[in-house]
Parts: sequence; structure tokens; C-alpha cells
Amino acid sequence: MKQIIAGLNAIDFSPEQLIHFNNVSNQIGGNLVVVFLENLVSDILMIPRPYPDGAYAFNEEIDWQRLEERKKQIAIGMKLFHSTCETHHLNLLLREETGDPVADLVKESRFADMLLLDSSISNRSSLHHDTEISVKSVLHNAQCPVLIIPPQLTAIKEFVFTYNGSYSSMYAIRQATQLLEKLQPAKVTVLYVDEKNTGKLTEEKLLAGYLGAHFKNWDLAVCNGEPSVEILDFLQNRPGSLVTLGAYGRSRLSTFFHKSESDKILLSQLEYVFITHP
Amino acid sequence: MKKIIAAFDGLKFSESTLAYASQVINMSHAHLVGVFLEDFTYTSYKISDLITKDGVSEYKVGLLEEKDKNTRRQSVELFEHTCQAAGFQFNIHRDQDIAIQELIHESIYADLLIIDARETLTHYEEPAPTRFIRDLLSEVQCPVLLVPSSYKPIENIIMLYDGEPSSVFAIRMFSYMFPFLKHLNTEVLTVKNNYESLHVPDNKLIKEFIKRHFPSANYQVLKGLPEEEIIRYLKGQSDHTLVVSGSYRRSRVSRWFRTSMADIIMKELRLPLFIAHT
Repeated sequence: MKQIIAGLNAIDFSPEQLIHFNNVSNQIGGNLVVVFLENLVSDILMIPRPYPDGAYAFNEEIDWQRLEERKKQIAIGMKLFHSTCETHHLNLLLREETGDPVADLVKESRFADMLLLDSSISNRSSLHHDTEISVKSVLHNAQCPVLIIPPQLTAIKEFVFTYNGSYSSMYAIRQATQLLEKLQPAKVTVLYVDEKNTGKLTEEKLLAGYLGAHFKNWDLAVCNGEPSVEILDFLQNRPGSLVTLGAYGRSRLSTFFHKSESDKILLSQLEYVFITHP
Repeated sequence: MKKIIAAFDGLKFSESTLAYASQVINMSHAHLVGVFLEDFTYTSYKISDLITKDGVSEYKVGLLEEKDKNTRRQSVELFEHTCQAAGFQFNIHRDQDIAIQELIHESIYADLLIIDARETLTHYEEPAPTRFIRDLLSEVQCPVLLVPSSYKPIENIIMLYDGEPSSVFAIRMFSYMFPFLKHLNTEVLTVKNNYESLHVPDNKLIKEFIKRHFPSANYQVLKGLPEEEIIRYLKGQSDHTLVVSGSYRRSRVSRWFRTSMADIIMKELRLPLFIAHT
């Protein structure tokens, strides 16, 4: 049994989203723990003091109303969570995290096999967060593989393993293969991004040896050109595909695509995106 | 089906590597690749063996080369016959370039590497950890099972845990590679200093995580210096114990591995050691 955690915005989630997280977790063979991101801390606004010491302070009077309103919204979210679990017989563990959502998720990810995130997760009522920053920060710091769930809740039908011959792209393929072995998609495709236009698949024999041990059949698709454009193009009209991407911006060496191509794919919110880094 | 590689020096064939690989393959039904490191710079003879009173004897060179060729062939045949008799799915790679580079490269495309902890890939004897193993561990790209020179079936598991991401990562990878060992006696071993409590670091989170993967695991917390206490504790364990440990001196050094716990374990003990690092 795997330990799967899902980060959920306490004041902005739908029952369908919760059910879908649960379905994905079940398919992987996991036990789902929902981390309820309440994010009370980031609502504490730092207001400059009217003194020349340059320090900042929390102004309780100004923020009190906002905090109270947020607590009410969280209570509504909590109620919705429990009613959804009851109605749909979901056996989920819930953990409330009231602090910095990124730090909380990163800590939880150390003790998990996989982190599920909705591509649109954000604490929208906060002035300090937007979708991109929030997901990006988690991806940079996560200590387990992350699966980004698309807004269209389709079933996973195909694995698309992006590969450019680098260790990080192979590492992501290996991690996805090991973690998602129960999914058994109908199709497996290696999308080879021939960045140097060599016309040759890097380490074809070793790659084939690895994939052959895990999958009965797999296809190869080769593309040349700008990786993000090619990948997005390939993923068009392939609903239900799960695309793997190697390291997410750790260092130049370990980054699969040199220009943060995964941002574009992630933000296009097309498909399931599996991201991990060695 | 996972892909496991077992590395051999064909001139000094490690029967224990084959025996441990056989135990793992029998239980996991994985695909086994015998990687025979036939480094062109490595022979069983020394340069001094070639010199006669008339200088270097071409005849002697030919004889010794033929002898090495035969020894290597016999090792491959022994591996092949053993796998055939056991009904394993297997294949053989005979790598003739620089051994360390070949093996690191092979490890990118493997789920696990099994190798004798005393492997030197030279004709010299070296105390453990050998230079070859140290170089391998600092660069290897998949988890490694280092085995002692004599085979003892694995019956107990001790997982070293210090709260650092690397130790959790090792446990996580071990659970993916050896799910069939979950029923064995499993212990999570932590060492804390004399002023700390007896709680394991991140008590709640690690116990929840371990429960999913090793439901019957016990916890052992010792006090003192990790380098001393772990060795003392492991010396009291049976030869059938497998040790799981985290990072092996990479850029981000974990607290336990400042002096490389894995080195100390290899030097002081003859137990199989599972190492995985990010």
C-alpha cells in the first residue's frame, strides 16, 4: 500500500475533485491522505509601522475581519469534505495545515510515495499566491514525485514518457514505472525529443531493455524542434495521457528542458503531468 | 516486471552475488541482466608476469590472454546455466570499456544493481570499501544491493532512519524493490544524542508512512554516537540481516553520513546493505 497525499485548497475545491483524487489514488494502489491547506498565516498582512525603524508588524485590527471570514470559509470547506466522504463512501484521512502551504506540503512529501496536486490549486483569497507560483514552489522543493491532475477529470489511458537521453528524463520514466505499475495503461509511448538533431535514439538498446522488462508493447515517437512546442503538439487530442518530465529546475544539468519547458506544459493544463527529480 | 542488474568480474566470479540475485529474482520474478565487466585495461596478470630474461614474451602474453578469455567465458557460462536451470528471464551484457563508467551507465537503465561489496576490478585485494565500490556508490544512478562474499538468505531487515530526506528515500525505494520481504522481521533503527527524547524524528509522519509499507515494523531508538551505536547494534544481529541506509556522501550530506555510515558498515560488518540516494 502506498502513501499518497493530495494537497487541497480548503476553501476552493469541488466534491468531483475529491472523488477524482480518490480514484487516482485507488488505481495506484495507495492510501489517500488529504492535506487541507488552510493557509491562515499568509493572510497576516505585514503593514509598515508609522515609525522610522523600518520594521514591519502584523496589524490585528485591519486583518481581524479577513481572518474571521476565512475561518468561516474553511468551516464550510470542512463540512463539504465530510459530506462528500459520507455520500460517496470515501475512506480518506484528513490533515489540516494552517501554516505556509508550500512548506507544509514539502514536509508532508518527504513521508509520501506521491503527491497529487490539482493544476489550479492556489489560495486564491490570499494576495501573496497565484497558481503558477504556488505549484512551481512545491515542484521545486517536493521530496517525492508529484502528479499534477488536469481540470478535465479523465481516466489515464496512456503513458507518454518524454525522453531526451538525459539521466533525469530516464529517472522520471523509472519512477513513474515503479510507482504506477498498477495502472497498466492501454498504451505506452516514448516521446523522444531529438534536441541535437542526431537522428538517432540515445541508448536505444538499454532503453528498450528497460521498457521491455516492464511493458509488453511500447511505441516510439520522435520529434525535432522546440521541445515545449513539440510536446504540446503531440499531446493535442490525446485525452487521458500521463506525461513524465524529468527534473524540475534543480540545476541546469538536471533540468530536462533548458528553458523550463515544463512550465508551459503544466500551465497549459492539458494532461496528467508526472514530475520528479533525482 | 522490474529490471535488475547483477555486476560481475568474470575473472573473479562472485558466487554470492549470483546467489543473492537468485533469491531476489525468485521472489520478485524480475528480469535479470548479468553485466560482465570485461574492462580492456584489466587482466588477471601483472606486467611483471610477462617479463622473461629475453624481455616481454609474446608467447606468454598470448597464453595469459587466452587464460583470461577462458576464465571470463566460464563465468558467463556459469551465470547462464544457473539462470536457465532456475527458469529466470535473463540476458547478458559483456561490457568491454572502462568498468566503472560502463556500470554507472548501465545503472541509469535499471531498477536495482546487485554487486559484491568486495569487488575491486583489479588483481589486488583491498579492504572494504574498495576504491571501485566507493567510486561506484558516489555516482551510481539506481539503488544498490551490496552483498557480502558468502551468501546467507535474508531473514531480517533493519532500516536506518535519522529523519533526513535521504533516509526516507532509501526506505521508500527499498519498499518498491522488495515488497515481497514485507513479512520479514523489520526494524526501524534511530540513534539520538543523550539529550534528546526517545521519539523518532517526525514521529507521526514516519510511522504513518512505514505502516503502509511495513505494517509489522518495530522501532528501536538508541542513544549515543550513530557511528558507534549502529555498528554495536548491528554486530549483535544475525548474519541473515539486511541493512537499508540512505545517502552515500553526495553534495548534500545527511547528518548520519558525514563520515559515511555506509563505509563503516562495509568495513566492520559482513551484512547485505541496500543503499539508495537522491
